[in-house]
Amino acid sequence: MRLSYNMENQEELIYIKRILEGETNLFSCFLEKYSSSIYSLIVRIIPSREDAEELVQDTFLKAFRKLVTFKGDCSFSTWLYRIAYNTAISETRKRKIILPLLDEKMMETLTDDDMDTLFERDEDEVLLQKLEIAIDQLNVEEKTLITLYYYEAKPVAEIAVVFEQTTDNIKVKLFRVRKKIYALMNQ
Amino acid sequence: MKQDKAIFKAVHSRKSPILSAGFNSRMMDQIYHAEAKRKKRSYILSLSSIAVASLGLISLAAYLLKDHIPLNVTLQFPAFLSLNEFISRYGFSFYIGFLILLLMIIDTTFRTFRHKRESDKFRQFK
Repeated sequence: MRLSYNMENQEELIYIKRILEGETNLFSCFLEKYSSSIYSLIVRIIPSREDAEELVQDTFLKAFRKLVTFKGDCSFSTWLYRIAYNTAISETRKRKIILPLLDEKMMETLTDDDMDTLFERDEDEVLLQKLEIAIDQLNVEEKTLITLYYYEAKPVAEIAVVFEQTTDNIKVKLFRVRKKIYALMNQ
Repeated sequence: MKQDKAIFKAVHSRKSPILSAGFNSRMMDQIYHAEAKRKKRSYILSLSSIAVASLGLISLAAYLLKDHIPLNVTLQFPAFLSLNEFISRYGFSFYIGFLILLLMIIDTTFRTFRHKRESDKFRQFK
């Protein structure tokens, strides 16, 4: 698994080198490979499909312009996700989004067992609907975190690169997001 | 952290919309456009820096000739150059100027040729 990941990374580095040497048409390989996953990340943050598509364009244009700065210290997809996340963040800053207020005291009293029991019940349709609504009410950072961890199945170390934070920070944030989802579901 | 099967299922139950048809080819057009713009910008930048450097050198030469080099200086060319008789200091300067001009023309010709060849290549890929 690790070997194939490294091989993929090496292959992508070769492609990048060739693009920088003038073979611009090779960039279409990256588009084919990553445009859908970048779109599915952004569309979960920005609900309007048209706006999300525009942000995907911005993401790839930025990636192409900054390609020379990609050093290969993380995978290309992680680097792209970072650009996409920053692009989406700056777009959402322009819009005022009102998020629900939460009962902080209630959140503090939550135990791991409460959450573990609830989040393991994947057969309960009503619970799943409530979960979807709760996820919709999360802020941009939390939605991105949930998408990368649960939908894209990215390891915590790569998510840490996207957010430019430590893995411990990301673990703490994931824990808090679970708590918040629980609290939103029980409001 | 447990598996959180419910969150996993809730996240996956929502179908991601698909990008509009022809998105990738439209995107590639933009990429080609951005690349052409970048090349043009770097060409203009290098041309400007060459122009500035040339102007600087010409000004320096003029300044040196005017104020620091006495006019009675005679240039000593090696004996094997049989041009001694008719090449004056000004003649030599014109000769160097002509060489620079010639090199610039050759450079421009080759650049235009290469640019044309690359454009043909891009058109082929499109």
